[in-house]
Amino acid sequence: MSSRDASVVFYFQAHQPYRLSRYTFFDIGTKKPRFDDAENKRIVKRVAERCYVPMNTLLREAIEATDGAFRCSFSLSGTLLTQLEDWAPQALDTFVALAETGAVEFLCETAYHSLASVANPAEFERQVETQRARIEELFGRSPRTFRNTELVFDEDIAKRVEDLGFDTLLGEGAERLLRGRSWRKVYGVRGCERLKLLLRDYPFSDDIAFRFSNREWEHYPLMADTYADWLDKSAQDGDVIGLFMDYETFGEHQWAETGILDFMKHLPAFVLAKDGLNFRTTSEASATATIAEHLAVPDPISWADQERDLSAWLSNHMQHAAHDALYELADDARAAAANGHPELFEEWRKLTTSDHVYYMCTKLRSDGDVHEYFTPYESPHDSFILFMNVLDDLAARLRTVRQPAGA
Amino acid sequence: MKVLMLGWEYPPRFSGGLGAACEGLAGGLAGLGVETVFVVPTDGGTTATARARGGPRIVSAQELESERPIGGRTSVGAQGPTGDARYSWLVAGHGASDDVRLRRLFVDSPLTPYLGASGYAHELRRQPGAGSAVYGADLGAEVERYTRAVLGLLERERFDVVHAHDWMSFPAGILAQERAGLPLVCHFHSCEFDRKGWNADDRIRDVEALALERADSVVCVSGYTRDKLIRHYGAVPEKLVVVHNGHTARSHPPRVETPGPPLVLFLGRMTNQKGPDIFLDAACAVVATHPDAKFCLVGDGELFPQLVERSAKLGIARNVHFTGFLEGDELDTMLARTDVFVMPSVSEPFGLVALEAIDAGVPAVLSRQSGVAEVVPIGPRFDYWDTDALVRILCELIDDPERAREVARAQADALAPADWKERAATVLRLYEGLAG
Repeated sequence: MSSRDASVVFYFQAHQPYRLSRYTFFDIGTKKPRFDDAENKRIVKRVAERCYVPMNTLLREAIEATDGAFRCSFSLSGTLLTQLEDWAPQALDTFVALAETGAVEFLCETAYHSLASVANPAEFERQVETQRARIEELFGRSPRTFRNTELVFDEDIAKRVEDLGFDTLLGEGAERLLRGRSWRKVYGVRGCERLKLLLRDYPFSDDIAFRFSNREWEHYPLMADTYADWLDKSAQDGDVIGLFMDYETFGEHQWAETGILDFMKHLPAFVLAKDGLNFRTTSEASATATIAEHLAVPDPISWADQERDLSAWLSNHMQHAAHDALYELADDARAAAANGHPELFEEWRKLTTSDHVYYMCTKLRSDGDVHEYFTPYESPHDSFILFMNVLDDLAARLRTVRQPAGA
Repeated sequence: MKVLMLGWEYPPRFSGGLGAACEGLAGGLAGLGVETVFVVPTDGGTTATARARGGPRIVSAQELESERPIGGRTSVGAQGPTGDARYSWLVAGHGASDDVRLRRLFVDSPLTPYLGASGYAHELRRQPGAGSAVYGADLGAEVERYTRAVLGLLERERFDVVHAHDWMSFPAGILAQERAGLPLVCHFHSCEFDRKGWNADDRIRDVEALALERADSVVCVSGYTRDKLIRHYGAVPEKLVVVHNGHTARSHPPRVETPGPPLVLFLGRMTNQKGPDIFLDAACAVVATHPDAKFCLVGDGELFPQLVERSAKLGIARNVHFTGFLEGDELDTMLARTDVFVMPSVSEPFGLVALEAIDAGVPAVLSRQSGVAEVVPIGPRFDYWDTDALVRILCELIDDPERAREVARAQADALAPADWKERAATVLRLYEGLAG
């Protein structure tokens, strides 16, 4: 009889932004589309083919082969869902098929993968409700767990998440937050009553998400049985091991040739062979645990870069200027929807996707590589210029529709 | 009269006024029956375009090299006068691509004119099939490669005069004078002092000083430049001739007179010399009273990222637009929409873009530290350090469009006689005096 019961919690984040057109000064005021949908379509189809479809198939097989003992969680941004509906509906079907196994939980986030939580609480709540309704409609269950964009949270955000009715919030196991505590316990957040915080085990998560394909790494090539041994050795009774990562890790950020899909295919059986290691969805892991302690989180924590703060999105002047200018239009954008122009509100919301300010980041050091990998633009300054041109055009459009038609 | 012209830019391969001025002058001379061979560093489509226009014969250094590779590493040779330190680097690099002095000379000099080392590296990457087979590994090597190509040409053709434009072609000009005994005309479109003030690169200043010493005649694009050369280089005044840049009026698209927000334009390389930061400071102050005003910065340059960030920091990102480098129709469209053009240069030997703006019917606000003011003696002026004055001028022109139109008309009228043919005639007389 094993005396240990530890949870292994896989949560995969899948997201694609709507990338902007090459929108020059001369395009302002023209009818040129603000988003490069040819490019967006090309990318979402490619990622569906390389990652979503093969991985969803692989995970479903793992669930079936283990009679549901392999379990995991997903969050799919609303901007991804729409792109899948429009350009890769078969890939979306494979996500629905995962939901039908009963072993996969779908989480809630902001519909536009936005930073509304730190900019505009009302818009934040609206985007959460939009996403919650959509997840329930697509996957048949109303989500109980919330993950904010890039795991950004602090006490204020956590309180709002609790007030919106969620049981569980995901966060980064940042040292700044824990100050020596274990990231495998379930915590509460100061100011919240019942909300449970599940934290990312960044060493174990990054072994898969970043180090797996690094030939310089001492453990390269990492095998599934080795990784299961590591988990086995380190997991204590009651631990929750949060393996949180981008879903695109599998087949897109790291191509299939690296063996990352094979690794994932074989991992469930190796883990289940260990005594007292149990896969659980985020809500299941949360339900089995009691709150160890309430943590103070005065400043936002995220899972990005070395700093684990907001600096990937909001550190330089360009990012702040773009962010501020965007949210200054929030009321006009919503009014446009009320005045018969829902498409303008929709476009404004697509601009709230955090990727746009991420591309403007000028931080160097080791994370510069990660930023460069993700950006479609030549430089942070180019992306800022494009964004501001698009915003200028949208602002002008919003002004013209501010008066209700016929008023 | 047969002239060997040495330049660094020639349309369509140009990054600023230098190329336009070279084209204007060479075209004007051709009209006077002067046979001109113009050597530019690389072809880049220039040759065919210029032929189609019936201008001078354009020869690319690349073409010369492929026709007749300068074999051996001693073709330039250390045959120059010994004991002159300023001269040594001109020949130091002959073939010796591993010569550390020559490489370092430019690699650590990111603010060199037109193309700094970093700009050069950027250009290199942009060229299709970029590689060391065609281009020098860095700017210094490119200057040296160009110089060798010119010497190769001199072994095959005879000329009456050699005319070199700006410092990058001065080494070749000096060697042509020495090797072929040609009278040397050095043409200063700008000098290191303009470009970098007291932060001048001494090595480039030395090249310019040597050229001033060796040249049989020196053409200055303005009285402003002439004064600079006398004051900062100790040039002999008798050698210096002012020949203002000419300007060929061309048709522009009709002005766009829309009731939209006023548009103020900066046009030029984004370097300290051109004062784009002064433009942003003024923009910030104008926006305080004119929240709709738009400010466009057209051009590329080393300050580009800083300026973009600064516009954000100043809180005027919604008012400021960056377009990158524009030419042709896009530039025309921009000018047609512009309400006021500002040239806030800290030190501007001439400033052809001002003529371009005036020609397009745009009122031009010029800093007093510019040569172009000598041929456009009308319109608002300010000292580049006096942002308040610039702000007052801009507000006045924005608030009073009729006054702005008056300024534009008066400036266009003053511009009428600025013809390249007349300028070329002056230069031809200079040649005839030298070639005697």
